[in-house]
Amino acid sequence: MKIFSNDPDSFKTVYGQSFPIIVRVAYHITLDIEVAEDICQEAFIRFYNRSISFPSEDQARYWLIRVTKNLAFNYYKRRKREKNALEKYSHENTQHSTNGEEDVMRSETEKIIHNALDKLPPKLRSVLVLKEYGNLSYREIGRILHITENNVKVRVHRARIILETLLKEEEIHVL
Amino acid sequence: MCYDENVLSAYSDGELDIRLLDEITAHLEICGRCRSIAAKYRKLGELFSVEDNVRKEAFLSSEHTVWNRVQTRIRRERKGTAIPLWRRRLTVPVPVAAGVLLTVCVLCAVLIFSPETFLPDDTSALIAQQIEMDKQSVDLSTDKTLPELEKLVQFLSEQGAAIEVRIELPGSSHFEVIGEPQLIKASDYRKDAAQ
Repeated sequence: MKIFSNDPDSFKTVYGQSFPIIVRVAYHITLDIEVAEDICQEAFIRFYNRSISFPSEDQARYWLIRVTKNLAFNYYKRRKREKNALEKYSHENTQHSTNGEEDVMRSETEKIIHNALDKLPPKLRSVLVLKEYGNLSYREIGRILHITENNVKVRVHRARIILETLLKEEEIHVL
Repeated sequence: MCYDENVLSAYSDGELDIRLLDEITAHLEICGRCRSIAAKYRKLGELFSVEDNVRKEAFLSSEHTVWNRVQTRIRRERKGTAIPLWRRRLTVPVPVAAGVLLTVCVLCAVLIFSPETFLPDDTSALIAQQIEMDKQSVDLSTDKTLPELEKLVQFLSEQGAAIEVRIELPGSSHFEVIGEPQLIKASDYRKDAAQ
């Protein structure tokens, strides 16, 4: 079914299908639910204003995931630069942006996984986030990131190896 | 034969074809090393799903929040950026555009080659009058004798100002002069004077 991005019915359908995935992608890259919401909003506004047609709902979904991923990484990189500049200036050890309240709310596993994800290079992190939180197949991830299925397989594996090492450092043994 | 970790990672994601999937499943029953690697990837996946469940409710409530925000912003942008009529994008299918172009060409051709059909009534009447007057013109070139000047002037005044008067000299150098005024070609005059 052809999808017109600014058609109200199509928009609603695509929103319902894509939101659960893109909010997870945005959240697990930015690690901030409010920022993730802002990014999702921006992605859907861009989708609507673009006034383009997609050959299928899947293609529209892939487009949204790609835009969300890029927006989230742009935010992440900007924030990292700001954090580095602040650390350099204040000479304070602000390794993570957590405060006491957040620590209480967030489970221990979530915190550890976030810390580990935060250390992954963007290329590996994006495939892992799309795989683990987006529940997308290798083929779908390949279409979103414009890489081959085999490349996705290799990147997912590499990300897992690094993640395993990072989790071991946090004394979480997956084996 | 043990499988590469890469393949076992894809196995844990269910990304292999059915034949290889069956082969590995059978192999895992007899190989402790491969079984532990596959279990490692499965456990890693479970960690992610546990972590995701923590935020499940937050994601659900975000869906409604973001939907309302998106709708509000779309409405506001629609109001704020109403595109003027002359700047709106128009999509016309190629066959329709070609048809319109052809029609315009045909109309232009008809307009150019038969102006009477489309001219206003008074313009058509003027043209008809002009044609009628042309019919009344007198071709004096066939006349052997030139009419008297007074008669000619009277004839012209009766016809009105719109009449075209053409006085042509004979083409040959030998011509017969009858009456007054005598119209002689300058070249013939000079030739006669030389003789």
